[in-house]
Amino acid sequence: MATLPGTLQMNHEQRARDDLFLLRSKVGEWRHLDTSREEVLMAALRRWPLLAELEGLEPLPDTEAET
Amino acid sequence: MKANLFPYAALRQRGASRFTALWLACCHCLAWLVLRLEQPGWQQVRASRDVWFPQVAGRRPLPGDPLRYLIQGCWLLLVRPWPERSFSLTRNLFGKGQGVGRWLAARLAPLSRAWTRRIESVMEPERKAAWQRRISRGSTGIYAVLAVCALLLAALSVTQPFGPLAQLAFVILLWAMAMVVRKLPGRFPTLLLIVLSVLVSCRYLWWRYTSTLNWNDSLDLVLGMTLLIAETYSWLILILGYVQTCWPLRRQPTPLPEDTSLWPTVDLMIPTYNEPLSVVRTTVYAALGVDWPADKLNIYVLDDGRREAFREFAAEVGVGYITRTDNRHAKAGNLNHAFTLTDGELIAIFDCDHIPARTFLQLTVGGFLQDPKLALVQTPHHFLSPDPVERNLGVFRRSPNEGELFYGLVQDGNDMWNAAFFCGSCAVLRRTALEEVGGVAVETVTEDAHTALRMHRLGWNSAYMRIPQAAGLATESLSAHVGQRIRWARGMAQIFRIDNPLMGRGLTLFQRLCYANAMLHFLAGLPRLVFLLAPLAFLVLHAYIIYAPAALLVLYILPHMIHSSLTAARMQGKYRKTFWGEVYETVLAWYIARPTTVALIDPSKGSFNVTAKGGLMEEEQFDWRIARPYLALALLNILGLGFAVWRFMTGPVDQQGTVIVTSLWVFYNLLIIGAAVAIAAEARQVRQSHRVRFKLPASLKLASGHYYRGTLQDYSEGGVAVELPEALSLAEGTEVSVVLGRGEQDYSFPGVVAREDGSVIGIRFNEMSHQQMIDFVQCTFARADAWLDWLEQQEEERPLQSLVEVLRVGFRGYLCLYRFLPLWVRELFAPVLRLLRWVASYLPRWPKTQRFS
Amino acid sequence: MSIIRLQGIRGGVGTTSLVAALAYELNRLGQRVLVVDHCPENMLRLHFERPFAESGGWAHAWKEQQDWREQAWELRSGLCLLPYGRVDAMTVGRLDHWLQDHPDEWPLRLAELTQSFDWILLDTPHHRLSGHCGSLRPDLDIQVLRPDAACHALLQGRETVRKLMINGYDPASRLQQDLLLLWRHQYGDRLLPLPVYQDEGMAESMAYKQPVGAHAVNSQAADTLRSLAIWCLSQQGGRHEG
Repeated sequence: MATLPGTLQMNHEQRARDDLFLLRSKVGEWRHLDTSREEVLMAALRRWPLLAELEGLEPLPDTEAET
Repeated sequence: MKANLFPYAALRQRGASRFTALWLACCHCLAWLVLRLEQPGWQQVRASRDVWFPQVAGRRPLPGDPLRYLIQGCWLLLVRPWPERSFSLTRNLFGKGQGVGRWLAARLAPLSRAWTRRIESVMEPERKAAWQRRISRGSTGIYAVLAVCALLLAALSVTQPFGPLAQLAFVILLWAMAMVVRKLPGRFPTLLLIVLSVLVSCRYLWWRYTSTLNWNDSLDLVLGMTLLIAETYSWLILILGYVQTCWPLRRQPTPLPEDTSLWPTVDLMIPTYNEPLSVVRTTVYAALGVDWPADKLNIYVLDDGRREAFREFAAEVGVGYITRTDNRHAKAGNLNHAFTLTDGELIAIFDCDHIPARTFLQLTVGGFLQDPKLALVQTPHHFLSPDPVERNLGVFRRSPNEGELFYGLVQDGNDMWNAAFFCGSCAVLRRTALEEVGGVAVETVTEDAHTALRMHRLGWNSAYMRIPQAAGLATESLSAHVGQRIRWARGMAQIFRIDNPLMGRGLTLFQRLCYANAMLHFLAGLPRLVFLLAPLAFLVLHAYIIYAPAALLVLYILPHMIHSSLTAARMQGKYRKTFWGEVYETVLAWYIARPTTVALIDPSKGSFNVTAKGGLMEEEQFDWRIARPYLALALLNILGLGFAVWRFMTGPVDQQGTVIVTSLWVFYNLLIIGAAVAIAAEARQVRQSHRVRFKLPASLKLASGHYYRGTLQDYSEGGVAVELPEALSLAEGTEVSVVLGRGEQDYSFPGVVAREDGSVIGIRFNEMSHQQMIDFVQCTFARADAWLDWLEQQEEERPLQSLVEVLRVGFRGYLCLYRFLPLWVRELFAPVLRLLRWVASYLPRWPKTQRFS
Repeated sequence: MSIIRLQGIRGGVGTTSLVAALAYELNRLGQRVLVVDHCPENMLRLHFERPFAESGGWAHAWKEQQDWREQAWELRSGLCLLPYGRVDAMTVGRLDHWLQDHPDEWPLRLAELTQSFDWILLDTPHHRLSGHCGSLRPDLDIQVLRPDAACHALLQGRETVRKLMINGYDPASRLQQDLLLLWRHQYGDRLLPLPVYQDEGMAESMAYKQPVGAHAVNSQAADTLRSLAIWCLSQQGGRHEG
């Protein structure tokens, strides 16, 4: 991969977007549960009435978009 | 053609005087006549002249340059630095001998691997039991006989007195063995090296005790005994160090169960006292991003400063805020008070300037579920800023610092013996274990180690996870750094007195040894001072502190030093450079000598001082206050050198050897002291917040709507630097946004251009909301891989090379001292210095390194 | 030879610009690429510096009973363009009927080119000209969408295996972040690895009559498409091995 240009390029120094990538290569049998991802996803669904409706969820009472 | 043969005009253009230009042009012409400079090989050398001849690069030509070219040329041909990046003196000088060593090593390698495997298999618990069964079944006899034989043999080779020749043959034999063994892979050869080193060092000490004390003269005897006690202390530390680090555990994280309802509840505590909110804030933001089920994680700021701003901040971001009415027992008391108000099964503790990575808990907690007796998991303390020593020497991230030896190797070695101890931060503790020992210990100023010791006494286990999962600021100034070490030293000495790990119940032998070493290690102050002054006893006071012929002394002490540094290089090469340890120790020696001694005598004495962090060095300064004792020591040693010259000229002939050996010792001391002085010259620090170098894909959005793909170069709390594929020539203050990604998500952070340096743009963020700050910290400081390059930039250890480096730093210390001297003194010395510099300009240099990278 | 078909989930998602940019990047990676415009709007050619007044193209040739092969332009070495040509709406309707009656027409045409090109990129109209977009079996079938609520609604109930390419993403938008997160969660591997940002460079490139990679080499959009071109190559490699 080292010769490829652009985003897919990974060299020794530069880190990948996925911050677990390097850690996984260092530790043996171990997995990480992205608890924040679940929470962020649920918050995202409830934030927008259309999305909530399409997923069959109740939107939060205050459906104001955060800025 | 004329310009080629006789480059007078070109030389004049480069600033040479008429005469110099004429002379150099003549030399050039001569070179053309004698050498075939038009050939491609020569052309290449000439094209990269600045690389091969750095001493003449980029300055005006001088009349002495032909000689410089000649010297450098010959040196280059001799040393031939090009095939490799770094240089091995031994390989160049003893190329063939090493060849034999390597040949032997290649033959022995399979054997050593097999042995390492075998020992490793014994270390596994099931196998251990099987072995024990086997031993108890009846082969006990054989092993006992073997052990007794080995011990007898060892005792013989330690105690047998030899004449100089026999001793020479003996040490050469051992050295040759060590040279072969050190090339072998695996851990078994390390054990062999340790055995050899222990043998040689014991022999040295035995010899010192039995045949080098002058019992006929009381002054000789007193001074000699003092030195000998100091040496015994060093010997003890050496042996204990071997025990402690012979088999680092390299523990891997235990996976957590998939069902998160089985995960324990955690209280994450951030004690603070006087640190500014800006420091604590980042830690809290990172803590908020730690991946753990939200209903099982509670974050508390424990504010002993009782500051309103902290209370407001905690309320805004939704973390707990705990204060108390008094500040008894400082941090330990603060934590103990918080324990009474919380109820999590586990307690994670972070100093307020240690920023946790989001993976911290999931990496460390698994062990608590697997082992019900596990009381503590400690992770390394990593520093994102250089400590004062590194900063003042300019070796940040190039040479390992003190912490790297401790967290890279020592704790890992401790873990093998179930003796890894609590370091006050970046750790997880079990509440029941803490309750059983009555909370964090308050009797000493190093409450962390003391608490762990008590847990171990009650049969709790500890673990050390050698994965940096948090980073913090190092102490700012040298005096604060020294203050912190004084506190540690005092605390350890206190524990040694009031709760001595060698005594009392509940500990295994190895736990006792590990704890004892950790504590004894801090008593190094007095012995170090003794070593710095010992040669003067002979040179100035004429005391025979080592009552033996110089040649014999060399035959005993050199192998002791060589073997211990060979072994150290093998065991600790990645974590500590040989000789640098001495420098670190020397800096602290004077300051920890008194408090440790006082604490040993009366452990209740001495006050608690808090480590100040996050400040800023306004200007370059020389910390005369810290350097004063070392200046005195340096002067004394210089005086000693004067005496040495006098003794050499006028003294008896048979003592000249001793004078030379002692002078070499003084020289070494002077350079180590020089390095300590160099550390006292504080480098200036202008950065508001510390920039962390980290390369990561990033995008830049301009107000016009254009996006550019770039690479993040560094980040700090308030901004980032991004390298773009082209220079955009943005004016300062231009509004931009930086887009950083982590995992699947992108986050956009608005800011303004603060500086532009070619294609690298520095961006200062606008005021950010709490959520944005949390996102930013999650994209940077709290990334799971943020600190994983710890221990990885270090090159392989080369004892000789690091000696050269220490000597260079030592020399620089004196130069530094000179720079800070009053003007009239400098004017006095100026001609001498100019002369020295002129002579030095002829010395060969190392070619510029970019050629090789 | 591999065929990539790009089709917007609705109009105005920037499909044509993406086709031009992707073709350009594939060509820069040393691939022989043909871009075929199947959209009656006939806009693709404008990304490759063709004059607006020019009327040639395969549809035009069909109407005039000319050889479609002669309508292609070699824009640079290994990058060829087959425009749609300027035709009136009546002709588009007739052509679509004719194509519906001759479903083998385009597969046969492309089969002729197997030896000449590594990649054929089709810019396909989003509206229901079933003759125009029907009969081909592309190796990589990509649907282009914008991260907005309309596209999210349009995605509902469409059970396909087509890849999804996101164009015009603004990472500062809360809604777009949330949609991207949701789509990643719902569609997983169907999403192309990177979204194309709402980059002014992309918009400007058409005004400059160039693909974004030629006009704004260092822009984020060009960089993303470069990466996506590499991703296409890796997909092709994976398919051949599998």
